[in-house]
Amino acid sequence: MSGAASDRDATSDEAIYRLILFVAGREPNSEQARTNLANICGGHLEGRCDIEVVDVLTDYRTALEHNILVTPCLLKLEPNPRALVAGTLRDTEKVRTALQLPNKAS
Amino acid sequence: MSVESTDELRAKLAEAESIIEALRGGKVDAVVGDEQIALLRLREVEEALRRSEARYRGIVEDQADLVFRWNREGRLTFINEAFCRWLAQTRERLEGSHVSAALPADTNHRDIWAELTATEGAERPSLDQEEPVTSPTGERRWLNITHRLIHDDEGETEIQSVARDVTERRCAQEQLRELNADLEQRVEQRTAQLKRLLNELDEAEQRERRRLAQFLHDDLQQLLVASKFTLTRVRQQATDETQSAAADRAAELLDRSLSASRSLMSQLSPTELQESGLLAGLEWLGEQMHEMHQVPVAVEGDPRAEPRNHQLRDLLFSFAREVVFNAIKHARPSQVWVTTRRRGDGHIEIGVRDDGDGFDADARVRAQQHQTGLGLWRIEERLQLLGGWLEVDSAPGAGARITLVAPASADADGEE
Repeated sequence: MSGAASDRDATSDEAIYRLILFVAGREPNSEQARTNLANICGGHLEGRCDIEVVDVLTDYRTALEHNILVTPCLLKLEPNPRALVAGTLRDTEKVRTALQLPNKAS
Repeated sequence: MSVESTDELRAKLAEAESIIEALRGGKVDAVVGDEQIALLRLREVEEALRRSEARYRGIVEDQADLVFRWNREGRLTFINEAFCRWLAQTRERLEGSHVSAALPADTNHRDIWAELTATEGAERPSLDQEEPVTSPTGERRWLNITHRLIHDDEGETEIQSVARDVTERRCAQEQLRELNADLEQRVEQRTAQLKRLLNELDEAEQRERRRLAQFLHDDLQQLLVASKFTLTRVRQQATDETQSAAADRAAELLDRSLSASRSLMSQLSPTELQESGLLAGLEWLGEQMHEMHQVPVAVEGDPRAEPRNHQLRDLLFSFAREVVFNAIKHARPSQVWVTTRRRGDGHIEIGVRDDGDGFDADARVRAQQHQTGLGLWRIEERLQLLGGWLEVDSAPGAGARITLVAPASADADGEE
């Protein structure tokens, strides 16, 4: 049992995170979201983050395709399931929980 | 249509909650619509408003002026620090209290409302008042207050009043007024003194002239007549031609002395003037001038133009004599005319006209500054002190007319 659990963790640890951050130009909340996301990914997810930043001011169709209503907004496409966090991503623990990222302590 | 699993529903609910939370917390920059993006900059706007209000409040609070707003009921809705200091009360106590404490005693806040709303058509209706008030410390101070009608975005109307303590300015104005009054009084006193002195001087001159004329008439001329009488007897008793010739020569000299004495007496104080008045004096003057300078002087007078007292009569005569003499001396006229008349306004007018060279009347002012026209200037000054004036009408080559005007009832001291 412990082996199976260990296998799932290992798979989770190695998974690539495909994330899209939707922003509105250099607006203050969008800028904070960029900084906070960089901090989150710079930790345990280093090398395993595929982050695309979409500026809705120049490309709003991508936002519509993904049913994004507000910016800033972080969308996790992979691994499944899809998850979404709106806002400046200031509360790191909340973001980790929402995106089902590995626990900081692990 | 697929049935969504509980997990999918939970995930969508979590997304919705996240969005709502971000919106509530002001963490959203833009809303994505079908074809457009709506940027949300509420926080920026709020911050700008906050800064603006802080700046405004800072300016208002730093004002030395009393700034206060009040509503239709007269309740204070805003006050600044200066206002609190003036009334020596706390902001908490004053806010919501009645505005009457800040207004002059006899000012009703309803009147201000009525007046401002009546002029509401004006661009920025305002009302100014400057009134004395008694400060809470019992001092009497002056306040200048400007009331202005203010409308906010929600349609509420208030009055903003800005009051300034102008006590210092009012005191300075009052002091200035007192100083001016004092100065005017002193000028008046000095003018009266000057009038008296000039009058005394004129009187002394006339008195001295009369005294000398009297001396010439009573003493010198009597002695000369007696001498001539004695000489006549000596002439009758002469024993040879030499004595007779010497006596004749002495008699001739005595005659000339007598004549000179009579002439001097008339010059000093014409008998015609003293006995028959101004017009007779001027007629005598005309004859004298004609005789001495070979210039005809026509005198035409109004018997009603006779001064009330002898001092004014002698003064006007001496002025007329100086003006006639100046005309003959400087303008080389072929004829001089002297007229007197009683004006409708109760003044006596003496006109001296000549057909001589004339002069630039405007240049007379400049000439006076160089003292060349001092005679006319002195006459003008003296006439003004009497309540009269002098008029000059002349141009080069066109003769001249000098008009002397004095109140007929002017007393010896110059007062009417």
